Amino acid sequence: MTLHSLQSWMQAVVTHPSGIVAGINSDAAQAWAGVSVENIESIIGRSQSLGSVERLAVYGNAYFARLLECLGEEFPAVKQLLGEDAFNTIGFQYLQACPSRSYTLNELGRSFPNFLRETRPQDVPAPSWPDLLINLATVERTYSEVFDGTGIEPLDDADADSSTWAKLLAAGFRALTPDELAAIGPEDMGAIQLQAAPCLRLLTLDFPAHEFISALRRSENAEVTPPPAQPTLLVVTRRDFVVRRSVVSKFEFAVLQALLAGESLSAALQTAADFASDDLPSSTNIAAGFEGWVKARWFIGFKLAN
Amino acid sequence: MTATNSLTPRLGYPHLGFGVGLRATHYPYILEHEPAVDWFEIISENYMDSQGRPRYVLEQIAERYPVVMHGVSLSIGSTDPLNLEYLARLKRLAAWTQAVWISDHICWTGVNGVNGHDLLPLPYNDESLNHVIARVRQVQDYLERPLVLENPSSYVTFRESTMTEWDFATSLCEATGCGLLLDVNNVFVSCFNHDLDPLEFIRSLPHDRIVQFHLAGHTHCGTHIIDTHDNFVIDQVWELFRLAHELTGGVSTLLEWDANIPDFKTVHAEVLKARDFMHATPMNRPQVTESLKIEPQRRRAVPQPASFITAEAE
Repeated sequence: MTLHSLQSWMQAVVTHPSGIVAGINSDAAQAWAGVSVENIESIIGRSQSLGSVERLAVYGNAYFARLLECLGEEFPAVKQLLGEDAFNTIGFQYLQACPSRSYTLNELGRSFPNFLRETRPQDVPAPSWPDLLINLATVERTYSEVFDGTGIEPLDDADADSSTWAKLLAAGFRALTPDELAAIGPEDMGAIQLQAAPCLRLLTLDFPAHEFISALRRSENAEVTPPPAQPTLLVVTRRDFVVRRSVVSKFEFAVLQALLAGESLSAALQTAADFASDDLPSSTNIAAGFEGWVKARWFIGFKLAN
Repeated sequence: MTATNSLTPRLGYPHLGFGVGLRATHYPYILEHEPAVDWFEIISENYMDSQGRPRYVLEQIAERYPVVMHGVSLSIGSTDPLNLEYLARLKRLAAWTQAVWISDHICWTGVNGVNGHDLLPLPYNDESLNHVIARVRQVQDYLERPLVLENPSSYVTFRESTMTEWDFATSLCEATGCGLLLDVNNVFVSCFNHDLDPLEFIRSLPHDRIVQFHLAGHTHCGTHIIDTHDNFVIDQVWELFRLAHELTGGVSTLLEWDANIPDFKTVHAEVLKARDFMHATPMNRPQVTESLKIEPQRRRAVPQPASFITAEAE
């Protein structure tokens, strides 16, 4: 048997969801080595204490257990809401559908929110508990990506600088600070285009999932009541290496979406006004809100639109 | 990079002293107290893509302490092609942390594009040896430094094996000039699981190639032992460490603790016990009773590595 055949066979056996014996008998394993359970010792030796199947089971048991543990660490709120058994059942299905193909465990949960979305029970009306699960998974995955992804804090590594600031400068943007903002003349203000922080994310949710997640973190595993459904528009970003989140109004969310799409400030305000005519703030509130976004570093660069 | 027959101890790498594996739960303590640890070992995959707090913390630690990189996903024994993007990131991380050396394991972690995130054993024969030799050379050429490879804990043996694990490691070192990270606990675990003599294992290695020791706790399941990194080092492993120290003349020594992780002081104190064991004789052997003091959590024993840093959010 070649090394490649042996590795392919062993992987098929120890990752089989129904255990080692089923793995040995599976089509995948049989394609690499036509060995029956009775003849397994022709590949894997036994020890004085354990038979070959039991020895393989150490790897088989560990495969799902290790990855479920990791998923649980990334999605603690989903796990809390489902309970450990149900979480492991869903996670088990997810790992079969989306086995890790990356060198890093940070990628393991990337498709989990989408997996929950695709497997949502169709006979349950929305929004209800499956949507809360999807919302929680979406927020927790966003937190992971924002926490460890490109941010706005200075890092020594030159690559980090080139991926954020150099690109910004190359695209003609200038750094946006409260002082720079104050220096922009009122006649130019509407024409500015803004560059969002690379860690800024906008989420549309059916539930205030972020509140459940925060309450869970504060509770140290005490019982936390799941929130009732409530349309929630959430901004997630990172400052000082900690993930921050804010709920915004429908109007603000529309402005942010338009700005992220590259519209000028005046065009974005108009787009939002058309979209959220029932939610228009006063011009004073718009200005104060915008200053707050700059201060919170949601936007880090600006240039005058052509 | 060609093979060398140099007998320079540790491939010329420094003896860094007694280090601790860097884990996220200890970040606040380390940054606040700057403990007098000789060096830190990082899990490469936790930092090679990070643009957030883990990387920021590592920057500060790398300014104050020597750092060694220890990977779990190189998969040097896999028959899949080497991941060149992974190697590029590994090299970049080594450059900015000024890693004293880069290590991984003599194992494979997956095949056909899948990563099981486990350190799976190889059959030890000519085919696998030649395969790993070629890949180690390729990696060393790319990294422009010798690779240091660790003996994994293992739970199966293959009928395809035609040589011992220590002969495989020795031949690999001779052919490629790579170094060895001798995990003393893994020797104990594997030898128990395969009915082998751990003393013979350690005595048979090329001692001048050993760059580093690992120490860790494990879980004894009666019929087999699982390498869980969740407890104190047991007395028999300390005895093996003493032998390895004697045979190598002493090399950088590091404690790994990856589950049920206690406070930093406890982890650091555990590795410092190595100093007491280095020259111990049966007459003055330290009394080690800590091994029995921490009960493993009542959960299924899972072999390491599992390495995930959770997000910090307000």
